[in-house]
Amino acid sequence: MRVQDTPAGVMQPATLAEPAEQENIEALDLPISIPPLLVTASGLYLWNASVPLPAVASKLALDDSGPTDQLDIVFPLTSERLCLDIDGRYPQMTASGTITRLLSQQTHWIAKLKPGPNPNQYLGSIWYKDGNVAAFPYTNVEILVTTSIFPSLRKAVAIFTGGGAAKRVRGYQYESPYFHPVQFEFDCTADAKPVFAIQTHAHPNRPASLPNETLTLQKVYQRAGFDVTTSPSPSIVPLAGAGANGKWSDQEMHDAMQVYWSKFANKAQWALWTFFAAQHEQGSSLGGIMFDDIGPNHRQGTAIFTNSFITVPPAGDPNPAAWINRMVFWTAAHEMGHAFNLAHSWQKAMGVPWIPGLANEPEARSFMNYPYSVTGGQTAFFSNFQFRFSDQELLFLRHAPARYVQMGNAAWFDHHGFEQARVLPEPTFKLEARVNRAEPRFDFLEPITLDLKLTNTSSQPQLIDDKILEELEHMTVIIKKDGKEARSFHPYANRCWEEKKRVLNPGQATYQSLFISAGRNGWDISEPGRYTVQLCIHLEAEDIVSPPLQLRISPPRSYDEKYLAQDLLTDEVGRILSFDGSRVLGSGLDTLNTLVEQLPDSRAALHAKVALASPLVRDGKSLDMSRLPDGQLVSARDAQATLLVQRADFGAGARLFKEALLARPQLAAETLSHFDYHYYVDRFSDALEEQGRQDEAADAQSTLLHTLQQRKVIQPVLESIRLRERDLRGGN
Amino acid sequence: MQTLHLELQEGFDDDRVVARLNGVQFLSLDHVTTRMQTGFAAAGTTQAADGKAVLEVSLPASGQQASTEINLIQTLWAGVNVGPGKAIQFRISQAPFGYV
Repeated sequence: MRVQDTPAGVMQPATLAEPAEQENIEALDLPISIPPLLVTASGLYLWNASVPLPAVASKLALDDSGPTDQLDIVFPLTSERLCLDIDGRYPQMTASGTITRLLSQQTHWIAKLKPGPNPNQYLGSIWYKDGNVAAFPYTNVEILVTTSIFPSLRKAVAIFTGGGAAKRVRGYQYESPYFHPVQFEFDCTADAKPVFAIQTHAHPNRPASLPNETLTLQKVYQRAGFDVTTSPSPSIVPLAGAGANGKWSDQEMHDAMQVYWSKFANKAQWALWTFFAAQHEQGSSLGGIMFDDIGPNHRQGTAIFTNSFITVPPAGDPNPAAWINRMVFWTAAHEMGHAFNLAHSWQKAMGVPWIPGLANEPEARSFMNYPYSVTGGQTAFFSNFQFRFSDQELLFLRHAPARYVQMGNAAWFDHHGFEQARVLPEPTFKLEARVNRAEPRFDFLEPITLDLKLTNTSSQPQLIDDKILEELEHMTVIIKKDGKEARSFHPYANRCWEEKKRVLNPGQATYQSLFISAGRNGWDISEPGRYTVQLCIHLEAEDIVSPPLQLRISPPRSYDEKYLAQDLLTDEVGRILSFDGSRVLGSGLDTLNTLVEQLPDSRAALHAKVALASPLVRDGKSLDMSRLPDGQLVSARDAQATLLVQRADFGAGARLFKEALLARPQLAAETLSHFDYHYYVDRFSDALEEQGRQDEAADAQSTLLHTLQQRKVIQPVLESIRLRERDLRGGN
Repeated sequence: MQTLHLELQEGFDDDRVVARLNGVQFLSLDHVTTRMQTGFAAAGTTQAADGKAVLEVSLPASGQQASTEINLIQTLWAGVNVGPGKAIQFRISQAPFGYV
């Protein structure tokens, strides 16, 4: 009997030790006779609403427990994971969890656990929170575990309390003895001497308690908590890649990684390229390096050099060959550790540690320490080295927010805001957000409206909701200003249409606009700087994610702009711009009139003119609630509300529309978006037609046609404008 | 004549570094920064007559300076580290340093 190589460390016969074999046993659910006390509970659990809480948590007063929190109701697209680390190999007596809402809002928590008074009960205080902390006020967690030799019967229930919030109870289904997946690929040059495994007793200088086994690099990381797979197709990297000197620079290795690593991608992924070569250009003093601090996605590649000091044993060593094997193996595990974002043992407190107060571990017997730097040198190190990471490192690998550990990852949402999205390898649709200008640069105060385009990229006609790009409840829009947290855009209104389907043929697209400057979150895009915008449409079978759109807001050009911003970037103005005008938001309307007066040629004034003009060209109604008693919410009838008809001021409205839409049409189409420019000119044309001014309406359509023609809008749209103009001119 | 290898290791962050052996400047580098994944920043080499010598390293921007006496009767490697408060520390070795 020996401990299986998982952090959970289920005691099983040695013949069942390999994970693949364990999976077979799990799949069959065979009634193998294993003493239940040896079955461990550590591993990954996933939230499953069908986990029967009462059966597991029979001691809970469930009627007293909030079944969930409010955000789970508002945002039903929630997934949740629980990492339980209480037994097995190197247990950290820790639980951690990640709650993902709306595919982008994540909350991460970590709690230190101790056994509770009841069997399989663990209690702990939550000492670390990250992400959307406001959505997770809890300070304590109680975890009840159901263990079983059958994985399908393993369950956990977590009860979150404290922080002034109602109790939150979650049931989780056991998923895996590992906390994260990772794939390794080992490639090498012909002149390298790679070592992937060692016999732990091969060298006589070792701890007396060290088990005698064949230890692989995969096992090292399995024991740290990773479900390791290995790429089946290692490559021999030609020496030519190292240039004329035959020694590798970081850039040359990065180039080789892109060519020879079968998993290479410029994105965060649980995958790592390990490269064995003879020598780095720095010479034999460099035994290995995590070279990948190049480009946007770091920590994807690491290298070990076998013609370096790590293959030079000390004089008089009793088994030089075993010493070399062990040192190359140790170096490989060490460099791979850097790819998991582990620092050297003596650097833990340097820079910005992931948790404050991390202590350096200069004497640690860890893969991340230098053997020759501890007291007594490498002999002392290996005499007491159990081929493992320190507890502090295991805590990081198993429980830190994944973005800190995952290879290629970076600051939240910089490159991968929708990493949890259900994106198919060959998506059915392509979603684009565009700004239709040479450079995605906007003036300060200029409202931002995107042109959205959804194209059927499949070979089959697809049935879509007629308003698919307007139903924002099925769309997530993320806005991230550089250096700040990502924000989810919430429009002022969600519209509800009668469900109506239409066919989108292969290659055909549907279009819509989206005003994203302001919403219920406030003005998401207002300050000067760089922003990233990304959209995701949630369809029944897949999520369609747009490429990130980078925007830049220019700084104010004058004191007037800065001063005006204080009044302009308000909720009232945001609503007026979003709804194309208002008859009641007086303060906001005053601000827009001031804008038109003070900055008449600005792009922002052009938007203001459209918003001011729209309610002026037609009669409209407003609800007069001025007799509503203070502090009471009553029905309009009880408040004696009346509908007031507000008469149009067509002349004033038409003047504003002409200035905004027809005076500088190219500028208008650029700043309003193609879709909205078309829409506003149509509205103006409708109003002119209603006034019997067909010729002017036709002229407006003519300007629209020439403007969009020059901006290379698709023919069917241009044709529809031609028809409208012809109709207005009496069919001529 | 013996060779001294000077290796700038931990703790450098966009620093200007000047090194002298027996008062003779042999290294002057700008923008020295430690690569955290190896603990190595930069290196230089000089030679001096056999015997005792004084190695002096300074960080002019912070006004820090430190020196150590070495017995240069064979090739030596001097590791220089910058600790808290920009304190300069030496590690003298008769064998090359290794980095991983």
